[in-house]
Amino acid sequence: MRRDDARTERPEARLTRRQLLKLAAASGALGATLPLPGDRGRAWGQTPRAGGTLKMAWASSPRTIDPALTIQGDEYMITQNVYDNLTRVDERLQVQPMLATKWSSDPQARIWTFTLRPGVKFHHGRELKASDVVFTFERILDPKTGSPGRTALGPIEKVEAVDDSTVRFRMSSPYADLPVNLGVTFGRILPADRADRIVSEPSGTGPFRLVEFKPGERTRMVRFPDYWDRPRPYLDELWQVNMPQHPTQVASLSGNDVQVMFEVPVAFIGALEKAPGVSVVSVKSTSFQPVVLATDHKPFDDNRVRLAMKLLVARDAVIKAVWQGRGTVGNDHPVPDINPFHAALPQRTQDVARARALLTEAGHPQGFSDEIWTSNERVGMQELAVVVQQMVAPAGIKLEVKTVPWSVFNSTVYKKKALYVNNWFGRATIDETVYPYFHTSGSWNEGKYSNPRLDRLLEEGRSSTDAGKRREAYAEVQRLISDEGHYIVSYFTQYVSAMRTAVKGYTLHPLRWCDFRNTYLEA
Amino acid sequence: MRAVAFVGRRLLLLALVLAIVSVLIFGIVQILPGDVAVMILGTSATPADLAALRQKLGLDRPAALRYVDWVRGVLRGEWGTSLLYQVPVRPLVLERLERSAVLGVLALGTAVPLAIGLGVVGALRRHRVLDQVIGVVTLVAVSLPEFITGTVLILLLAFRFPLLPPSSLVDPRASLLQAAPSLVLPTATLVLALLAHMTRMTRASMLEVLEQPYVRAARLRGLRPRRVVLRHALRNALLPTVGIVAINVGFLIGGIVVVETVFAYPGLGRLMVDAVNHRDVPVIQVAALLIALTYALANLAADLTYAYLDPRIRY
Repeated sequence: MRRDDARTERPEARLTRRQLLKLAAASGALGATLPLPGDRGRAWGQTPRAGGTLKMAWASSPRTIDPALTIQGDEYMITQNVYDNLTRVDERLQVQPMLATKWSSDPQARIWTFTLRPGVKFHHGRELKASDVVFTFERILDPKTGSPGRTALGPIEKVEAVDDSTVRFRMSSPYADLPVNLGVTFGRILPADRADRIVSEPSGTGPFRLVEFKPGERTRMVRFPDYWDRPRPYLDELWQVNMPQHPTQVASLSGNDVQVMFEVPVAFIGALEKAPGVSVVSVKSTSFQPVVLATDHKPFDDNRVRLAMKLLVARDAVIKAVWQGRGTVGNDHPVPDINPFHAALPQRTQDVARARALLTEAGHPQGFSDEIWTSNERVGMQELAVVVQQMVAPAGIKLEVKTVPWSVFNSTVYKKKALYVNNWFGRATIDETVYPYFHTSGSWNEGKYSNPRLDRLLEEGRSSTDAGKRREAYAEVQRLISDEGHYIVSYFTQYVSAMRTAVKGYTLHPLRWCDFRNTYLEA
Repeated sequence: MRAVAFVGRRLLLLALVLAIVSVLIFGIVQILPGDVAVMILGTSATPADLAALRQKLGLDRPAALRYVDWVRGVLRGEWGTSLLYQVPVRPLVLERLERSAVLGVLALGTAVPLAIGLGVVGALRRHRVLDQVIGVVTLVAVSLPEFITGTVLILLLAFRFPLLPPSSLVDPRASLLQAAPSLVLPTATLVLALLAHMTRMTRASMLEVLEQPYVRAARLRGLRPRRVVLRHALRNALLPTVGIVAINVGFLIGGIVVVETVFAYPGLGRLMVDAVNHRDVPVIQVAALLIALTYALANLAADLTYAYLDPRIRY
């Protein structure tokens, strides 16, 4: 059994029980295996059952559990369940309260004030105070910590405790997305009195207490009975197990040795859909694999050539060839349609004649030859390079596919070659979804694209608190990037996962985050 | 006394081999493509962050100095800190080595007697159906790479007919007996890969020995066939097999790396794979050195066994 798009599978909280039952009946057998929508377990007439151990299989292995230094999904999975953030980014990328119950800013979005939830306890027994929040962010801002969050969290200048339950953030420039950004992986709140034991004896306010961290093997977390959001969590134990091979994961899931498989590669979906007691679930993700056309290299310094390349790609065919049809068509900018700021621009489609005309105008009537670089260690990248190679050939563009391992890719291809395929996980805020990739000073501007007008719009978008103005600015940003930027974004991928049908109250997140606060195992 | 001198000489040689190996390991790790700092900080890191980390890790110092430091550390038992996991290398590597050793000993302990038995049976039933079956089956098993054999075993015995666990998800609180089922498939995969060489060698040398006049003489004296085969023929026929066993320890180590990955078994091999993927230099170096040591010790053991089986052999 398989479900697409979390949006349709998550009934609203305000639905009545009767409506819900109708909905379930309307979707036929689907209703029986729907995960319960978050906190609303009782709407189904089912009380979450306490107890049990849930094991989740991951192909990769975490390296660290220091939230300031985590950069991988397997690490986020651990910190997300051991710690809480001030805010929560929900499955629609909307911000919700968590350790902060409310927040507000001055009209310029320069000073943000957060009110903390009372009665929250750390695993070592102490109560959460504003000074813990200050400690957490000062630690990230300290260059000695070496946290990528120092720039990723936004232009935070100073964090201060107004009183024990109020925290104030001062920004160096206006920043409207701060509440969303505090809900991402770097913003896990740490205890100020354990600065030297963050990795050796982690203590958070989260639903699970970490008891064993063995990278490359398993990480074991147990229920924290004093969690503020009682009666959550329901599970007694939560494990992350590291299993490098997908066939092993598939066999383990069907044998109920593990209950959730983090990610199912396309090739294994068929086998799992047939396995009894297993359900395959998927959600539109924010991840995309761009073809990078570096504007500091010939011939891609000419926008006519970039546009011609974009026009040569038949997007539906690409999705079919690379992802067996599992993906959402992209429009050459990194904002997916699940992002609240997504702009409905006319969809670019294949137009070989126009591409040829553009190439002739740019002085390449016979096309040109180049290398397209890719990596064989991220699913989809190599396939995409080969498909693009074939699709640009009718315009006389001869590409040679060059494949390297991921580690080599990062040091010799990324930001260095003229033409390559890359692999990006999307971000939660609209600012982070576009600014770092396309602002002239952006840290991930791998195509060296620079356009003063775009820079101005990006700055306007991040500093305005007026929702309408922001929407306008970001619509124009998307149009500019789509028409002139250095990316061919032909698709956004789907995040496909699989779990035992007994697992309830676990919803996929478009950012591939794994939250087990509401999860329980049906008897 | 001569035996002691012999062992001493061999140990000296072993030290020399390890010294050469250590230079090789260090050299190879230096020229591995990929930047350690980028691996640790990810692609979003700024150049300044990368430079600071390289300095912190001492990567900006000359390679020769780093080699001397490393060797000194290894000899003192200070094996450094894993760049990937930020934990001391020694307990990490030793725990994983112990687990791999369990797997290796189980595999070798099963494969050697089994291969010798099959070899003897093959020789006695020469060119008959049983001999042919043994020959074909072991040949097929050795021709398939371990990741295929392992995956086929998982799909067959864990997925299609769920008899055994596909992975080594052993609860840290489980007893050895509870852990045993999860060791069956990885061990079987290794055994299948090891059988062919040893079986064939035993069979060939058994055939040769069975033709010898002294075997015929033993038979003519009216000794029971079982006694002739096991006491008189086998001991002499085993000599070449011992050499093959030592070579197979090398195959075994290579096989363990693959098998541990396929079965999610947390041993030294998987640690090594993860370390190479993430350029975790301190772990790669020590793990490679330990693997080299294991191989060298296996060869030493083979030489000593030779000498024991055939008193004429002295080096």
